[in-house]
Amino acid sequence: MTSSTMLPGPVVGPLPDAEPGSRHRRPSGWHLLLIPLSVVMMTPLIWMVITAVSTLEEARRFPPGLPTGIQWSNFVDVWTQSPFGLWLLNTVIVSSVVVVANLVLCSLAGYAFARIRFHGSGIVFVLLLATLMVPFQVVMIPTLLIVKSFGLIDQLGALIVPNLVAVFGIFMMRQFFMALPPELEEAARMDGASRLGVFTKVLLPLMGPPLATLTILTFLSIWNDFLWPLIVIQSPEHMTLQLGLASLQGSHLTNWPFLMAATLMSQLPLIVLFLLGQRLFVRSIASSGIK
Amino acid sequence: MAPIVLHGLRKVYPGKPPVVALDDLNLTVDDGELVAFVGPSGCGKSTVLRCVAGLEKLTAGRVLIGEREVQELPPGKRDVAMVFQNYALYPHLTVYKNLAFPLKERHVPKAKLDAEVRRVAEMLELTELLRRRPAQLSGGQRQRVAMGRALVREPLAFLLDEPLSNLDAKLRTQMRSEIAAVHRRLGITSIYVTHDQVEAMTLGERIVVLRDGKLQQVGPPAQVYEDPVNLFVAGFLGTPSMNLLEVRAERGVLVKGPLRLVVPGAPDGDVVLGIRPESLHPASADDPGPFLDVVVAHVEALGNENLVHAWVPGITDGTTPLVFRTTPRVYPQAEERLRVRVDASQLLLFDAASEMRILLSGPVVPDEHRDGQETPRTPTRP
Repeated sequence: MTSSTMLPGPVVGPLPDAEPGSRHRRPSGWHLLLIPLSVVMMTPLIWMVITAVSTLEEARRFPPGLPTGIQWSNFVDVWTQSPFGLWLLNTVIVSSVVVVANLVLCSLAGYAFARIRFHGSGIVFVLLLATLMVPFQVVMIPTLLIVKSFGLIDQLGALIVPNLVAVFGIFMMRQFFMALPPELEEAARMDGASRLGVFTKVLLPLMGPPLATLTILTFLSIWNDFLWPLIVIQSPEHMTLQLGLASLQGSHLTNWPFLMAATLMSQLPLIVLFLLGQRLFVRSIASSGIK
Repeated sequence: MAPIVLHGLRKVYPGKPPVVALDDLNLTVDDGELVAFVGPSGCGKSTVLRCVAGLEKLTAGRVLIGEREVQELPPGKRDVAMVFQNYALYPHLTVYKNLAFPLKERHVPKAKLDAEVRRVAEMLELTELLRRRPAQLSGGQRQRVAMGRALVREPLAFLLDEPLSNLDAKLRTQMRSEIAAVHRRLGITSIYVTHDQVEAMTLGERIVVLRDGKLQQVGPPAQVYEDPVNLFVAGFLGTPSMNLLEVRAERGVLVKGPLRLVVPGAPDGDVVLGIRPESLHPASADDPGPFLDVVVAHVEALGNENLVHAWVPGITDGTTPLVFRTTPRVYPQAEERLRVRVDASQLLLFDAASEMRILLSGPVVPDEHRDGQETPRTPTRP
């Protein structure tokens, strides 16, 4: 007997626990775990914000407490007393180029792996995936040697070239194309579109959600990267934000409000990007033209 | 518009072992004709369509559309249009832009493009929906948009791959009529692929029955139904399907249990007797034979008719019942004994080994040596 035959009648209307449109949910046992976890996760961020608007004395006080006033001058000091603008510009250049390159190259490579049959495609793809399991520390030195042979040491190019394409991005885009009905592309080909035309006119407009995800992940990883820039960048004028922030830490004394104000400002673009991209996560139109 | 000629089509998918999807398929679809391909899942009917469309590369064979050999051309250069099973509408484009897409790809001037889109939209009653996106349309409306996108550029041929299979029964009947009307109006050479034999029989001027990539029979629907060339075609077409009884022929007489029929020209040996459900009728007292005495297994009441599933002692077992129709008033009960008359002129005979049809040299009549039996009362619903 199937479950449908066991129902006394048709189920009409929403279930009591899941009213559509309602944002209120009943408390559950999970909240006992999730609320303390949220507090743990939020504490460093809140502490960063509090320190960024405190005086040095307030920041060094123990036990820590709320500042007596908001020191907006900390943010001004960051701009005037350090090359923060230059670090920000370097980071924006590197992140933007890498993100755009990843969007183009990963989506093209993912499309090729998903849709174009060629000899050895399966093996090549498995080999690519296998590289995900190799830790960065293992490939750090060989990558440095390659970058050095290109003459890119202490150049922004050293931060860009090794990150132009990411295996994870290829994998993610391939999975997206695999889930897309091939009939969409076939219909476009029947309608006279070339393969590139199919890609740009039919597939690209549907790629919003995966491209937004790839943008956020790539941007986060490049923006926050510290180890690789530390290896290849030496001169202060080519430093990225993470290197610059590290240089603000003194060996004997650190101006914590100054450092936290700089850190807070360095994180603002990421928060804005995430809030913008988040809308695309939920907008999935890929299958609405398919029965 | 143009005829479509399929010459020696062969399609083999590589693998271990390779899968032969099409095997030496030859067919000419005349100019303006609608041919329906029908067959069970995996028989190769969609592969034919995809090979004609250029979405699959042929292993061997030639495809001619009009005077042109097209098997080496990409899909966009073949001047054929296709309606997909899932419609494949571009979800990010409005109905207008979906309809305009094929014309834009062909760089049709804007004024002409607009006129063509509006003409097709009016023909398919889509004018009110031009600003909507596919997600905002019902199944039937999406289907019409898919048709419109195929029609808008006036292709030489029209390929339809199970276009109604995602619709509910009522809408399917309505859309079937619309497709027939559009075809009558435009007269575009069309290949229609379906697994639904009702669609094939009602829409196709000719139907093509496929099995395992091989063409079994081509002809007008009524002819293929009444004159199947083999057991597969006989069993595939018809709802309920033909009753098939394995019997033995000896000196022109079929013998199995109490069944004895004179079949002129039947070779000696094992044969399969095919009886359409409509060739069996509850017998009345003055009916001539031949008769079969059956025991009713169960009855399906469909409203306009009843389908009686019965077994014939000594001939059929419980797993392969004999099925026949009765009027709604005739409603036999389970386990009830019933005498049915067999319309001998409609019986078909097939060779049990080769499964090919055996053509008889004369009408089938009951064997005179058969014992007569009293006709039981035909039960009626009170």
